[in-house]
Amino acid sequence: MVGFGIDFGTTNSVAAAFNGREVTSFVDEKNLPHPSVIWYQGDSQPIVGRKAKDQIRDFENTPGNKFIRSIKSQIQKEEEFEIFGKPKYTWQVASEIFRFLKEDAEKRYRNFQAIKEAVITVPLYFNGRQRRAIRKAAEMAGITIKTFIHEPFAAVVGYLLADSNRWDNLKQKRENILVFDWGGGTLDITLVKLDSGCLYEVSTAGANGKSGDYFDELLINYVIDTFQKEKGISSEGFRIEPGIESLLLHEVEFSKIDLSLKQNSSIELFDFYSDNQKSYNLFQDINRSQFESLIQLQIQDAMVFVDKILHDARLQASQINQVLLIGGTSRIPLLINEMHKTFGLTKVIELPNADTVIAEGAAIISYYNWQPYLVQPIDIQLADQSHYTVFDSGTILKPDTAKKEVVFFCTDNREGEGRLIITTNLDNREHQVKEIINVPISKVLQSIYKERIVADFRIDKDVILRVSAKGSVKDKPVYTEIHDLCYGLRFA
Amino acid sequence: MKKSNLKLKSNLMVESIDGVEVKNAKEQIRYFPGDFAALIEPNRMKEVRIREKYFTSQQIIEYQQTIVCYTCKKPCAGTCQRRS
Repeated sequence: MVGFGIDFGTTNSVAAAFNGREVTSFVDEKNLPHPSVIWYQGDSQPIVGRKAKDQIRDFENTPGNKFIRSIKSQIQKEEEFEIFGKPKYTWQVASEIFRFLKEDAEKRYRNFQAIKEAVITVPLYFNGRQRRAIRKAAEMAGITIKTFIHEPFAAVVGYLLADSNRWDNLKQKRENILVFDWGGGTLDITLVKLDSGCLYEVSTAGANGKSGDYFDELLINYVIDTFQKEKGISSEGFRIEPGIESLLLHEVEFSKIDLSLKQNSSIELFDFYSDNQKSYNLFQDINRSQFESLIQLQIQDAMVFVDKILHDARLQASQINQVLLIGGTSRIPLLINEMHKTFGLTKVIELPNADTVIAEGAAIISYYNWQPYLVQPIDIQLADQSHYTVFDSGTILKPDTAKKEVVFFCTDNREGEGRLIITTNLDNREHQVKEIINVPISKVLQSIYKERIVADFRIDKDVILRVSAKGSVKDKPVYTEIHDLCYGLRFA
Repeated sequence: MKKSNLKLKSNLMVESIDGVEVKNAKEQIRYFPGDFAALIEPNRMKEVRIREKYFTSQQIIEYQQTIVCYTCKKPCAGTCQRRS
């Protein structure tokens, strides 16, 4: 039996398999994850991955070619595409990446069966709509999603649990592991506890945007500014062709990666800009300190998130045992220095398999059929200031096991609404409000026993808590969803 | 508009879970704010002996705070006389 996991990333995507003994990542010929680039050429099936990325420079400006990058970010923004006049939903475009990962694995890793079902990783803040879009994309490619798991959490699983011979040793350990996952589109930071054979998320923080793709934009602006100053070209009315802009983006991305390894990098683009029949080429050197000054604020913001995580978990930096750096943006030396300053040199771990560890963790979860459990109980605040626990910690986050219908009576209908206050708590500390639903009820002074709210709580197949609540006034219930639940797994 | 903290107070109590009634479901009136309970059950609240049996001490205090005082014509809960 083999378990499959897929890390569908903004910049790169990769699938992995686990057979109970070893993990195999389905990387490309260069031993790298597949770039999440899709190259459409008319009606034929698009080309995906390294081949598409390598052709951007040559074909971006040629009619009949369309390249789509960072489709995962578009799913976050819930945008739609038009490809050669035909409208396409983002999930239809994203399904090309899933199809490619599946076909590439079948072609090049022949000793594995086809990927028919897999555990798929998602950023912490992917809501129900975004998860549904990913589910549709995977299903369109013929992959059934066993469950979703948060990317940083999957990374810890991949890092710690690939070798089951180590489990007995891990069972004795109690550790706090901080996962700092900064990729092209999202920053996800999670504090994971290892305790008595369980791994669970304690505190999470993160943000969309202001990641690798945003750094590319900053670098583009810097390059254009410098170009204008050098050539004495006014910024007023300055415009470069969309095709050239796309090539610049491509070049800038390479330079950014280069600057994590070297002190200097250069960008060269012929016929970069033309004005009054005069054509200008772009030759620009960028050094690491110039790049670092551009992104300094974002690095500081990211470290603020780290402080927030520690504060929420009521831990000091010294109480963190390991810090895992995942994702391309985490390789920036300025960030690594900041991490060293906060946590010390020995605790910060740059994984050799940082590009694939998320998919590997998902494959391990898939192999053992682990279903995440709820770490923090879901409670409802009541009128007497007590709390009713809808789902206790340890509840398996599965549609069949986590559903409940609760009828509430309203202790005061004068405001015309019943207030359903959903909270969580950890280690019996104070309750944190997750969501408040105001359910319309009748304001009329009446026999009190008439005002009821019927609330339905259920975990859906996208591992999201859905709540619907209906009062006496409107026929339609009020809905909400909570998608940033903390997950846990018991491995031993 | 700035929301009051009071908005965060729940006005719900559990009556049943998956169709099974909870233990205190029949004592709902004891969870009402006192002034509201007095609107719903005015006769029980006015009668001193009954109200002490029927309502909680917290509810009675809440109710008394809403009674308009004969002296100051405000719901002063007796504080006007204490001042004088």
